[in-house]
Amino acid sequence: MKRSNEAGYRDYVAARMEVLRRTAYLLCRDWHLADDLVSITIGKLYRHWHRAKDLAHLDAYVRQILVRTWLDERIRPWRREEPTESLPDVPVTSRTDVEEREGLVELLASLPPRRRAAVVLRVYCDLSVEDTAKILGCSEGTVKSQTARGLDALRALVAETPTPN
Amino acid sequence: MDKQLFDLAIGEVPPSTVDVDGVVARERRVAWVYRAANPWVATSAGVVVVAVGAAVLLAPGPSAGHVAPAASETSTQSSTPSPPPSPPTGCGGTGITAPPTSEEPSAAITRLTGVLTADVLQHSAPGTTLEANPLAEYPKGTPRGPLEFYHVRSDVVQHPEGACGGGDDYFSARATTVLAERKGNVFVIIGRLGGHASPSTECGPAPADMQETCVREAGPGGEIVLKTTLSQSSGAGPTIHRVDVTKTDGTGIILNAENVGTDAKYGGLPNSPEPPLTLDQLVGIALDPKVTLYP
Repeated sequence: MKRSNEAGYRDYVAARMEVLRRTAYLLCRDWHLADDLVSITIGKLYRHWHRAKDLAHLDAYVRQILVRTWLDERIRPWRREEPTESLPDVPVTSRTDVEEREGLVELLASLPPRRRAAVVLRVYCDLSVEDTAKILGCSEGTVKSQTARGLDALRALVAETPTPN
Repeated sequence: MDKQLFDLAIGEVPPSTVDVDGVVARERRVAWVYRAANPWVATSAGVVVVAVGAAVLLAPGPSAGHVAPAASETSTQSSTPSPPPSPPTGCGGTGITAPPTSEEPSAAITRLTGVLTADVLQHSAPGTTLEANPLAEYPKGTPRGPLEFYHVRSDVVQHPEGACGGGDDYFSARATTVLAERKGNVFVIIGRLGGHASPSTECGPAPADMQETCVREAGPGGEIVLKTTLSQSSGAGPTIHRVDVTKTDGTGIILNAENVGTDAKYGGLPNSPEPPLTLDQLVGIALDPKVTLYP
């Protein structure tokens, strides 16, 4: 890559780093993995930068790489979550604001991967149904139904979550 | 439910561990392997790439395309790879994310040579034979037989002027195919995912002055399969069939078939109407369970 192109690449990455990390975290709920996903994503972007930089929808292209990277990484054996024999004891305390906020991310994580991705892209990234369908490689109808079911599930889970005293 | 709610849910964002300089340094080194499998991308970009501990110039001419091993490079065709030392500051690591292999490199070379030779002949047209490709040399000056694999491995090094090199760890082989008067070639790279030889998992925008068709599919075992055909927009020149296969066990495969006897990067007229293997035939070879670094 030419140095001038590389400067443009670095500027773009720096400007989008925050939102990419946040989006990755919403997908995987693990900051270490989120940073791994962003590293892989910007590496892939670097390879295609000399052509991708002129795309009209560059952000959508990068989000597509990020989401697909996450979906791909999930099937890797060394990324899979391993079951444990017993769950650790967790003290029951009244829920704080922080726990409430983390609760939403946990609820999001309970959704199936593609449904979770649909919700994140539609609600958090504010993408249209059409753009989300392109990124996920499915029909617009599938995006609508996945998003609706995802949001319904989230609302239901929120309703089931006990409120603090 | 809106974006603000999600931002609140995310809460305080910890400091980033994304090493942009490391990613850039690693991708610069990846570039030469990528260009080896996408020769016209190299010629259209007109690039000089720092790689393998030395500058490797990919330019038209009979000596282009060879990777001249640097003095610091370790050719470990038959030795057990030792744990790599920590990469120099600013160079990033090898980027390999797949687990280490348990097979000795020499055993992998023998096994992969047998598997790929049988697979290529099985999928090729009846009567096809394999010959040594004149570009199959590793290290430079050591010719390799048809689809005889060799192991490219080197530690990450930083040169005094600041350029980074090395960090390779993959297996490669090539052969010239012959059927009557028609010639073609097959070129394969097999490596652990995340390294320099990792296959692409996304179709990129088409290169300038090139016709590219690219399809992304899922394999029967969850593999990511990219099927690409490259040809010059003018209609003249060779055609390249390329498949990039990402296996779930951590193996990455790049498999090329071209309708020229040596290598498409040298241009010239094709030696046969079509590459010796179709995209589906290449996919069939790459998806063979025996084509893996984790047997």
